[in-house]
Amino acid sequence: MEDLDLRVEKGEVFGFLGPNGAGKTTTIRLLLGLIRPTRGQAIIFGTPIDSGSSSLRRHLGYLPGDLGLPSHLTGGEFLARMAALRGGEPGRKAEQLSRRLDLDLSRKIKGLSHGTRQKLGIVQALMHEARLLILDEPSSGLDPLAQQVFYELIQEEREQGRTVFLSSHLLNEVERTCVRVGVIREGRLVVIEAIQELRKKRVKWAEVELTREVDPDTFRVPGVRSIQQEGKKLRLALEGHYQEVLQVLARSPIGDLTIRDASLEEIFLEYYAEDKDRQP
Amino acid sequence: MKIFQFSLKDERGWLLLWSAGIALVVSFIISLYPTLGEMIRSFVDKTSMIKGFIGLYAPLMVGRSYFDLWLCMEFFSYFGVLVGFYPVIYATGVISGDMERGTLEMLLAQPVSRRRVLVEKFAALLLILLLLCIVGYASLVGATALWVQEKASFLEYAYIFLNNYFLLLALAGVSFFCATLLNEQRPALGLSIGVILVSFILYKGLSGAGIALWLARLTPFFYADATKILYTGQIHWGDNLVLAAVGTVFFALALVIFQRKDIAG
Repeated sequence: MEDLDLRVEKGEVFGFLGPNGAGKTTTIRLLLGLIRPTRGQAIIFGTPIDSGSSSLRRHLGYLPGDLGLPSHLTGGEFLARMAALRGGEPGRKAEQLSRRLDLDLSRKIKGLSHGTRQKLGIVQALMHEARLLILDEPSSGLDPLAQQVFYELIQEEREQGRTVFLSSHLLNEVERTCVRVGVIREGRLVVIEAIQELRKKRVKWAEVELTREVDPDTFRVPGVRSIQQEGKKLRLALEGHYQEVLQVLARSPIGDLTIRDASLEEIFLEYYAEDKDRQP
Repeated sequence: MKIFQFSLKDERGWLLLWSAGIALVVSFIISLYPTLGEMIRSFVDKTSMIKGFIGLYAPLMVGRSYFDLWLCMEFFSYFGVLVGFYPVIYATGVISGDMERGTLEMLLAQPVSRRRVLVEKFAALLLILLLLCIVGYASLVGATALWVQEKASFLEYAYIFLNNYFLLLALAGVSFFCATLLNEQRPALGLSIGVILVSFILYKGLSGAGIALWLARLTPFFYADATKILYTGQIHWGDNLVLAAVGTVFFALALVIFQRKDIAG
C-alpha cells in the first residue's frame, strides 16, 4: 500500500473497490490493527489504531475476506463465543439475522457450504450492533437470494446510522449498497467518487451485428464515446445519454444486439489511463 | 477468562484421549513388573558385575527396591519427553494453526488484546498439563496397588511427577515461542519437535557418555532427570526453579513476538 489517504464519514456506506490483489484486504487488516503500517496511521473514531486497540474493536463488526471459522463448533456455539468475548449473548438480532438469511445455527460449521459459512460470518459481523462495520467481500459465495437479503440488511444498517466500510470487486454490489466509492489498484488509491458520479462515467458496451454494412459515422451521435468496426460487427462505447443512439439503432438493419456494462477491469483501465495521463 | 474456558472446552477430547493413553501405558508397564521384574532381580543378584555397575552408576540406588529401578528405566526416563508432545501440538495448533485457518484473525478482530489471548491459552495448557501429571500419578498409584507387592516410594514418585510438570512447563514455553515465529502449523510443529528432540538426544547422549556435561546442562532435560531423587534420595527444588524460569522466559519472548506479529490468514 502506498499513499493511501481516505476518510469515511459517520453514517456513510463506503465501497472499497478493486480487483483481486489490489490491496483491499491489506487496508482492512491495517484498519483492524492486525497488521502494522511501515509508515502512516489509521484512525477510527478519533483513536489511532495499533495492535493493542482492543477496546476500540468493541465498536467494530468485522467480516474477513478469508473467513476462518472453528469447524468443530455449531453456528450457534460460534456466535455465542463471539458474543461472550464482548460480555454478552448473541441476542435477538442474531436470531433475526439468521432467520432472514435462512441459516441453521444448529449445524456444525464443518459441514456447511461456503455460502452458508459466509452467511454465518455476516450474522457474526452484524449481530453486535457495532457503530462501524468492516466487511471484506461480504457477498462472496452467497446465492442471489441471500445477496438480495444482504443488500437489504446493509440498507437497514445505514438507516440506523451505522457506518459501513465494504470492500468488493463487484461494481454492481458497490453501486447497490454504497454512497461513495474508493477505487484501489496495485496498492494505490486511484479515485474516490460518489456513486452518482461513477455512474455518469460508467461505460456500457453495445455490440451490434448488422445484416449489411453501414457507415459507422451513422452512429456518431451524443452518448457514443467510441466506435470500433469489424465488417458487419460494431462495438459502441456508450456513455451518459442513450436516447439518440437507441433511435439510430432502431433505424439500423440489426441482426443481433448485446448491451452490457463495462467490466470493472475496463473501468479501472479507464481510471488508470486517466491517472497516468495526469502524471508529468 | 473466556478464552481460557474456550481453550479448555476445545481440548476436552484430546485431554481425555491423552489421559486414557497415559493410564494405559502406566498400567501396562507396571503390570509387567511381577513377571519381568522377577527376572531382572534374579539376573542382577546372580551377576555381580551388573550389581557392581549399578553400584557405580548410582550407589544409593542399590539400597532401593527393584520396583524403583524398574520405574526409573521403563517409565520415568521418557514420561516427560512423551507428554512433552502435548504442549507442542497444542501450541502450534492454537497459534500458527489458527493463524493459518484464519480463526485467529476473527478472534483478534474482537475486543480482546493479543496479550490476553496468549496468556489465557497458555494458562489453559498449564492446567491441562497438571491434569495429565495427576492422571499419570493416580494411574501409577492404582496400578502399583494392584500388581506390585513390594514397598513403593509414593512420596518420591509424587515429586518426580511434579518435576516432570515443571519440565512440561518449560517445553510449553519453548513451544509457544516456536509457534509464534511461524505462520503455518506444519513448519511450526516441525520446528518445535525438532528443538525438543535435539535437546533430549543431546542430553541423553552427553550425560550417558559423560562428556561435555556443560552442554547437557543447557538442555531442560538435565533439570528433569526425575530419577535423581531415587538415586540420591534428595529433592532438587532448584531444578524446578530453572525449568520454571526457562518456561517463563520463552513464554515472555513469545508474547513480545505475538504483540508485534502481522496477522494475515
